[in-house]
Amino acid sequence: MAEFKERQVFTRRELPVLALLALGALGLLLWLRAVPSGRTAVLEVEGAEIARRELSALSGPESLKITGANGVELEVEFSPEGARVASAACPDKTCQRTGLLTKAGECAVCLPGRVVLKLEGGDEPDAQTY
Amino acid sequence: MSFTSPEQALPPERRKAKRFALCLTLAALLLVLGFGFFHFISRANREESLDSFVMGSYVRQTVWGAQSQEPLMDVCVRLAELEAHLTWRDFVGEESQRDVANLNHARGKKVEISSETGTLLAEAQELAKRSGGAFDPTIGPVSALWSFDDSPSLPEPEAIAQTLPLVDYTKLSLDSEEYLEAVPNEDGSHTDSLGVRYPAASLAVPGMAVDLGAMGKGAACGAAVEEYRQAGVKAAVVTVGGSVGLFGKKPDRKPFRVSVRDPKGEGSMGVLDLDGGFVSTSGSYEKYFEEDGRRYHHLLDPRTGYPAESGLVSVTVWCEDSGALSDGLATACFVLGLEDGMALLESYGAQGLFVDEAGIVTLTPGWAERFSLTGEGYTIG
Repeated sequence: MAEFKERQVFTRRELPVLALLALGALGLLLWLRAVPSGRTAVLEVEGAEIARRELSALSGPESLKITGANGVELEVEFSPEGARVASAACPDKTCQRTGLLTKAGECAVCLPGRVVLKLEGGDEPDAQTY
Repeated sequence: MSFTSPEQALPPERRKAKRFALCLTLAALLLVLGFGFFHFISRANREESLDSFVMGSYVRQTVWGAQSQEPLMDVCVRLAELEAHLTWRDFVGEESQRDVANLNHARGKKVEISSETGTLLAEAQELAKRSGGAFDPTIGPVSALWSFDDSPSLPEPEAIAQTLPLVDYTKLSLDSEEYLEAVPNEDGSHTDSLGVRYPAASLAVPGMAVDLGAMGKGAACGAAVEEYRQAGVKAAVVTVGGSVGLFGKKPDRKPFRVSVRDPKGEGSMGVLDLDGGFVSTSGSYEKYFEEDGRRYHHLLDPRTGYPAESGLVSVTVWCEDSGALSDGLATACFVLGLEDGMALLESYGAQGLFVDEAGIVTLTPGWAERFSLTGEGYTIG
């Protein structure tokens, strides 16, 4: 019996504490995986990031006027609900017509101005088809 | 005869201390091995991404298992070459690369083309045949009248009537020749297979013009996936405009999630769970203009010369092994409408999602379990 006790790595009194620690670590891991991170709007011109907004941190709409490639002017609006290209001074206005981006993974692209507005976040799909 | 181990010869305190040291060493060893394993897995599953503008489109690449950005940069170079092959514009790439532009300018003469362009033209011609002309690669003269890529405007009806006879895929000729192709097997060996390539093409009537815009983005996804396969990456997602290429298995082994743009509102209308292949969408919402209170979208019916009126607002198509075909089929199905479109997809073994003007979503049987509707104002038909 004495031999057996010596071979024990942990005593019986320590086991509940260790079990609690393991459960706590498992709980933390599950919580980190389950809680979605907030949506972040990212604005890029010719591949360079020029603005980033955590949408949940905004108290109201915020407008930003930018000039993209080829002198194309755009007005981008960030709000707690999402982000959108409010106006674009180019003929096709495809980015403007994309409307309000509300879910992670969505993006609005201005090809003439090489401008990309996209939403990043935890539950982002791998791709969007349109 | 009995033996006493050196450990048993030690006093109990020393034995305890020795075991403690042994445990500590083992724990340290496990920690080092764990870190090593984690580092190896992290490197093997490392995610690389690159956003760029190629082929007049926004291109997003995400690759797992690449050791550097090299495969992604290689894709950009490959797509720039492909653009030069397929464009009808005269200022993209080197003149010798411009297969389609040279073909359009040849006024009936035969021109040499790359094997990539030849294969694509053959695929487009077959689709034109099987769709009864609802898709036609020789739509160039009519699409030039509408000019959706530059400054769209409503053409005169006489201009459309005069141009329409130039749209005829049967007057596109492709030279073909058979060759032995080494097809790679899963075990790394190769099997010889008889392939067909198309080294030259001609258009029978001067004024005819090829426009592969309805297949180009899908073809680009196909070219990108070929590059990923050759580079030996584990998994990849590429989007060229609204066309998507999915390759391999992601490190978490979960299906790829592809959201579908809401054709009537903002954002997305649902999500597809897919294991691979190619997805493209044709929708009347993407490019359009309004004149005299009427909306004209960019999906032209080659048989009438006007925007298709099939009662659909969007078609999304999946093909297992051809990006170009997924793209071309999406356009063909939009023009054909729901019933004929479904039959065409079935003949190709493709899957699809049709959205009509009333908001009714119709899925092919293979997609019933793969699509989750999230958009408001839609019902699954």
